[in-house]
Amino acid sequence: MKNLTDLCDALRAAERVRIIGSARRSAFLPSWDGAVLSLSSLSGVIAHDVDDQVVEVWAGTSVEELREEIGRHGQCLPLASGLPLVVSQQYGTVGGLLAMNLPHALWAQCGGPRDWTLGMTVVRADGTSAKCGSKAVKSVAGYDAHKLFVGSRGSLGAIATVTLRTLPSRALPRHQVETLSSEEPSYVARTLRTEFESARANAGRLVAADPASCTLWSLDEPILPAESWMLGPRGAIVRPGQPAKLEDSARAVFDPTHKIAPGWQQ
Amino acid sequence: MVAALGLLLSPDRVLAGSAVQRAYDCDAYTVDRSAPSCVVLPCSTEEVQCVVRWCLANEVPYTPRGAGTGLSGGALAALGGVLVSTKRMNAVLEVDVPNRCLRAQAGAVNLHLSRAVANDGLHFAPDPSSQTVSTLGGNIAENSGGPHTLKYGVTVQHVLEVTMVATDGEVVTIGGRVPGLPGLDLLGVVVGSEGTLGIVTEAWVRLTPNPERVETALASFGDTRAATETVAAIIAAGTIPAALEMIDEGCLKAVLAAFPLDVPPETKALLLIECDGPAAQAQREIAQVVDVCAQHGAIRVDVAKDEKERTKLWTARKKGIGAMGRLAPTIVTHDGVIPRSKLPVMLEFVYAVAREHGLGVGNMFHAGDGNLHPIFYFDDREEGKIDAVVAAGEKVIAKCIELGGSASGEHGIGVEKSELLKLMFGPEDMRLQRDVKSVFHTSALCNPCKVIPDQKGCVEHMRRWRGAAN
Repeated sequence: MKNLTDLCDALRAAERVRIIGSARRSAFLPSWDGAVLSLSSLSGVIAHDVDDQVVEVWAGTSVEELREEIGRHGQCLPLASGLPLVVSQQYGTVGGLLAMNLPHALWAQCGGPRDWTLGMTVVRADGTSAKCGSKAVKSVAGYDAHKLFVGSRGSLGAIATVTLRTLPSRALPRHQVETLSSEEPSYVARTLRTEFESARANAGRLVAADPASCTLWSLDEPILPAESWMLGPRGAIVRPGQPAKLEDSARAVFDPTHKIAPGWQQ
Repeated sequence: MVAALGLLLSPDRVLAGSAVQRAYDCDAYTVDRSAPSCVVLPCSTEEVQCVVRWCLANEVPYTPRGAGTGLSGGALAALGGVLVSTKRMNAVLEVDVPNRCLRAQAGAVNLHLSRAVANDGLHFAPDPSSQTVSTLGGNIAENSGGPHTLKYGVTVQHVLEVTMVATDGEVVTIGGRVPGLPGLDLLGVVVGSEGTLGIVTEAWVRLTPNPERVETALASFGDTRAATETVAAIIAAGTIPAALEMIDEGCLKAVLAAFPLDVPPETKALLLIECDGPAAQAQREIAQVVDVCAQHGAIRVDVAKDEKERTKLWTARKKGIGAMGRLAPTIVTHDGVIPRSKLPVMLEFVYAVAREHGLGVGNMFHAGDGNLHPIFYFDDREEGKIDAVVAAGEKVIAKCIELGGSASGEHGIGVEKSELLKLMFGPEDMRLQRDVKSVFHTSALCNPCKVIPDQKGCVEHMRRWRGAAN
């Protein structure tokens, strides 16, 4: 797969397929042993507007490669380095970073991937491509389809290209994450500020804790206070609120034939 | 209709008659007008739900409206029907200082949210210039920005959860108080959907600690281009100011007449720059900014000495639009975004377009974000002026898109820019947007003719108002 047309063709032809990047975080997805469509061969920086601090990349670009590339111009992504795997030490692809939307060490200081994503090209389940957002750092033109794809875990289509905001390296804030183990965490949870200390005490074997964003990474399933949310092995999600009806509606609109994101209905 | 709705709410909260129709026939985008049949003033989510259900059952179009300060006709009752005003829904319902969030009704005024927690050292960060009157619901609909967007982000980054009356009349809650919720980011779509996916009635919003120190500088330039180039240079130098605003010569006349600021007489452009944070950081950053301004030819840079001076500078900026009324009977503010390095080219283009169409123009805008606000001023009683303004605005937006920017930075598409959206997005891109909208099962009766005007009657409406404008 070398370009957008190849990706469109591949998705159009697919019957049931899971869209993946490097699959480094697949422990947080439902099990799937069927066909996969990896985007890691669609990689490389398309354009880096240094003065505007905006970079457009293929979604299969490795995050480390992108950090290195923009680092040469004194810029960075708002991600910390040198922390346990799921926190940041070894990222996979840019597309995977966005699609998984997992907590990271600088969330409290810099927000999540949604906040740095300005635009995208996506490929739909029917093999058509569409762009959304823009290259401007601020835009309210139309519905923000790209925000729906951040955190969609491949369930709405493939992210083909991404336009991201970069940060001057010298403006990167310090994180407050305490690292307690170098093991790969199985659970990630976030709580209200007032619940953080008690959740921390009940989290079992902790890998890391971020008091700034009230996030816990652990080996054991934490006992969650009300209003908290949690991600666990094989796509387990515990969270308050949000009507399932609307999420089902989104999947019905974007993937009417249940072609992509198999395993979700389990 | 009035009697039926009067029974649902109470008769004094249903307004009708010619004076009401005239008062509510447009928002701050005065070029397009369409009168509602009546205006209702619900007090709660349940009352909004009652009104929506009545509209659905009787096939009457309905449109939500906050303070009506929107600049793209978003609060316009495009096909008439019921205008659902949130003005009575202005309560702050719950304040949770330890968790830095509060819950308020959609009609709560932006600035009142910050006031409610002022003694706790917190504030609601989005600060559109209309913040003394514009409502939380309106800010959510438009995903409002403001001067401090540059550092603190737009409304979507400060909304945790919304309660919405969906277009099937059901009440849904989207999002949650703990951010970063796994699953689809439906909240991110609802914020900025211009009130077309349902009526947001309540929201939990995130509160931001007040910075320890705020430093504000006013830099005067004898040349507009030097000022726009300085904007890019400040950001490129690695400082992200809290705000970076520009006022050009066209606006300066009016602003100085209304708000006496001490600037050198040869000033052609002003930059208003704010840095905040821990004291040492704010002072270090403002010193860097002052240096960059000096290197790029600023005639003078003054740093505000105290809160009083700071307030004076910001009053001039935030109330500056009103001051433009001194120059002509009518003003139309446009809104477009470009990558900030394109500011010098873009501003020169705006001046050329204004000259070509015989309009006055001033620019007062969020330069750090590349978010342009050309303000055309004219006398709408002169024949052909409205046409000229519409044509000039379209040229400006087309140029923004050509330069890699966007058709709107913070005012929204509304009824004003639905045609221009097609310059940015092709047929497949528009299908994607339609699909995003259809996730919410939208009814054709909810806020018709906005963003993607594909309801029956919108084309006629557009023809009528564009025709009426002639």
